Amino acid sequence: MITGKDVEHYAELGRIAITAVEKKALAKDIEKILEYVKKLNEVDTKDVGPMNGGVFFYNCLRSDIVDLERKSNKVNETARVTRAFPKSKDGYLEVPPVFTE
Amino acid sequence: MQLRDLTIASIHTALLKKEYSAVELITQVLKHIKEKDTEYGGYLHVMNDDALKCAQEIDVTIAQNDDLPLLGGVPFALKDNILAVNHPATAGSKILKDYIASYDATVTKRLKSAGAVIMGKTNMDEFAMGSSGENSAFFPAKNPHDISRVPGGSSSGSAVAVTLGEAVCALGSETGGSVRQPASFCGLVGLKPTYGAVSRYGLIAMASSLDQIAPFARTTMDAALAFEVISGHDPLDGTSKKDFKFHAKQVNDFSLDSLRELTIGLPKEYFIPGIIKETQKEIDNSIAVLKSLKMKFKEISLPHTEYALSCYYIIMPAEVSSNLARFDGIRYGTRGESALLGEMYQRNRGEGFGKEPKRRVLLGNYVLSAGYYDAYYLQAQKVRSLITTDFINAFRNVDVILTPTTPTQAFKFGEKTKDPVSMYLSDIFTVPVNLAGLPALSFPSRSLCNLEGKLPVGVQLIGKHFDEATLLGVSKWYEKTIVESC
Repeated sequence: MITGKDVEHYAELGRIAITAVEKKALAKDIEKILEYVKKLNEVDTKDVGPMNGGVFFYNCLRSDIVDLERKSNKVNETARVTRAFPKSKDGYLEVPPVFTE
Repeated sequence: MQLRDLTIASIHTALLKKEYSAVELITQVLKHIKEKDTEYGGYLHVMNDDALKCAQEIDVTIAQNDDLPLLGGVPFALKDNILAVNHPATAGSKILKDYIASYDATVTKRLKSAGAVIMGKTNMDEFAMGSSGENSAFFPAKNPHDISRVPGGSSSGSAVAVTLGEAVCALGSETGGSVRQPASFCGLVGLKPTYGAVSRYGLIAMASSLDQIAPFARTTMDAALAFEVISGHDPLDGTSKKDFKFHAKQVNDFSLDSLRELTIGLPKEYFIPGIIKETQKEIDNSIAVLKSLKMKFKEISLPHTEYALSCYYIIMPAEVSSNLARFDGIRYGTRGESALLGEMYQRNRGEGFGKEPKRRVLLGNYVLSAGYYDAYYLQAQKVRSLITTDFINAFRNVDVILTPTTPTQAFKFGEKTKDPVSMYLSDIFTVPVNLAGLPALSFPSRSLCNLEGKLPVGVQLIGKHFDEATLLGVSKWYEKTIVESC
């Protein structure tokens, strides 16, 4: 049984503000989905290992080199990223305070 | 020039023979988009100026060299979760409505270098979550075969654009069937590549162990050519396979003799009463066509099929809940006003996300929570192993597996929006492939000339890992046979 309180908790973990109407609908929907996926309990998975990813199980690393072309004035990716800031001051990202006094 | 009949090869020949110029072609496609698209809602953003500029460059290349790259002048569309620099990428969500991409996805870069003309960004279910296109935060795309029906999803707009001739090919993305299902509903070829075959650098992630970029086309050869260009190793994607390279020539060279050496498996778990009569009839006909080409068939079993959708609806939301954490409206996207940072996250995400992303983030948080993790997430990962093993075992006896792509044809708007589980069930035949990381292709059972006003039905072929060439080869011969009978 998924309660309104549960929904509030999982929404808070996800940093999502929800309305009272949404809360009711989400509780109902999530309950229904969990009811459907319950089927998995029927499967005997003793001695079965979990599949953690898509296909491959090797470590894939690339060398840690600065891509000069992307940094260059010609491409200037940094400027494109900072241009996307919804609010900025002197090229820095501006955010409200984390703590209040 | 009939836009609906254009292929990559026909454009290539026509441009080199100077039957028309790239600028003339692109101008006509842009005009077509302007006339048609408000009705069908395929595009969220059209790149008028960039497309024309690109066409002009193609014309210069032809004038100077009398030659063209593989996709020179070919109109392509991109799903709006694939980045193209200096253009919007909303992923169908309000939270990204003001976002402008700061770089090109690897697939975008590769298409551009192959001479493709990017026409615009296509409509989609928000963050690729949906099977109908109805979850787009902007407006739903509509099925060109019947405007009262959905085109399928989540790559709804890409399917619509290619069906209408607003592009020759389009890229979509697949997590649980988001290209094969709309391809099936719209009568197109949709190829979901093996996990790791195509770089996902610059694709807005939904569920990283499942996501893969996938092409739509009207013909098998066009899908093969698009796949050739976008596939291959990319150091910027850690899951991209190192030594894989596909060539469309493999499909071109795929002979009738090689076709006759193949055995197709029919998994009994996929031929269930839930399939509507029209679809079953089309699938039976398609099997008969392949039998007439002297292909061998064999009944097989994939015993854990019935658990695939449950498994998917645990693993996918779990990954969604972490992938969507980056959308906070702080560094890009749409930001509201709040006095405190924590409050701002909650508000931006509460107002920016639609119903389905909220549902999946919450569900993901639930299945990953202490106390539930083993029962849900870990159990799902184990069942995922079993589903994958089923396929590996089956491929010891058969080369390709054939199933319906979807249990029904395109459904009506609103038919499945009230009950999320009923919407999820429309992916029941496509989801297992993503869980196992396999390649699969959906091709239409009938060619357009033979549709007789009916809705399209998709036939799904599932292949061994990295065996896209065989799937495309079978599809090529099928297509040839049905087109000849037109």
